[in-house]
Amino acid sequence: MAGGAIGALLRWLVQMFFSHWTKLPGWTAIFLINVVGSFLIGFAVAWLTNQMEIDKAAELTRLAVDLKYQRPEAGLALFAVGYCGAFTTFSTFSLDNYFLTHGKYAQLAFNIVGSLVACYFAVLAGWALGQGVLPV
Amino acid sequence: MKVLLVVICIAVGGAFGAVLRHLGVNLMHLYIGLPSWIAVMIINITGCYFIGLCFFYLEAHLRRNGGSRLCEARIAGDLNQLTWWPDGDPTQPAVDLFRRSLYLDLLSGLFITGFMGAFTTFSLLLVVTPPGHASAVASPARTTASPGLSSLLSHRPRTTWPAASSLC
Repeated sequence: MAGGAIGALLRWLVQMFFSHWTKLPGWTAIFLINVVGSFLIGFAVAWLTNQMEIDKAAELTRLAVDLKYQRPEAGLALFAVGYCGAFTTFSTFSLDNYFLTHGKYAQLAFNIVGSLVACYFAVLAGWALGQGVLPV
Repeated sequence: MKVLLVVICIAVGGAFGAVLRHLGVNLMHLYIGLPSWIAVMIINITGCYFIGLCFFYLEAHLRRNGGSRLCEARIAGDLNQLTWWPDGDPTQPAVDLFRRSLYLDLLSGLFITGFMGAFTTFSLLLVVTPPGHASAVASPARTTASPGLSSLLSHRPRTTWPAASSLC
């Protein structure tokens, strides 16, 4: 719940920033939010599952398992499911696309294709960073 | 004061949206047996339907300053034909205009930005992919020292893949 609330609030703040402080069209805010959120979820999933695996291996020699093993899973629920899931949005992306269908076809195509491609590579980059670069 | 109320509405909507998504995906995946990416897709499609419904309803009822995005839409011409949905008289007393503007901000914060925004997700859809695809995504970056998600996946049966059991 906390992750969802924070994610939704941050999304709203970014949207407000874009609409008041930049002259970019409104859909660019959601585009950027989705790319950043995808990077973060890729990073979080890779890093936290990595840590879970290491904790699990370490606990084989010990008996006090539960609390330590659950910590990364709680982090996964808070950050990946809650925060990143709520920060990124598909419905607002679709709503923006609906309004772009009224004459702004180039922007529509860029938003759809660009979002999919950029978010895919953002997940990939986050995954790489979370798994290979940072020491656990 | 108004901003604070909007913030509270978005936070409450976002919290419930995220929890409901989590429950919905788990229900469909664990109890009905749908693959998790289909569950997320169903959630997204449902959310898209309801955000359109909410948006149209709130704009048609509460936006009285002429700045509605519905004016840009092709549907704008058809709104004149709807006698039953939007309120008929566009000229309202000032107090009523203020009240409607406040309701619009609060309700759109609660349902559109908060609930529907958090209920649907873009990032989880990309992460919740079948295991083969996940390994393909992960393998270029994997180092020999770090057992990552893909190696974790290879130790688990498909039904308890983390993307389904712990992510959704």
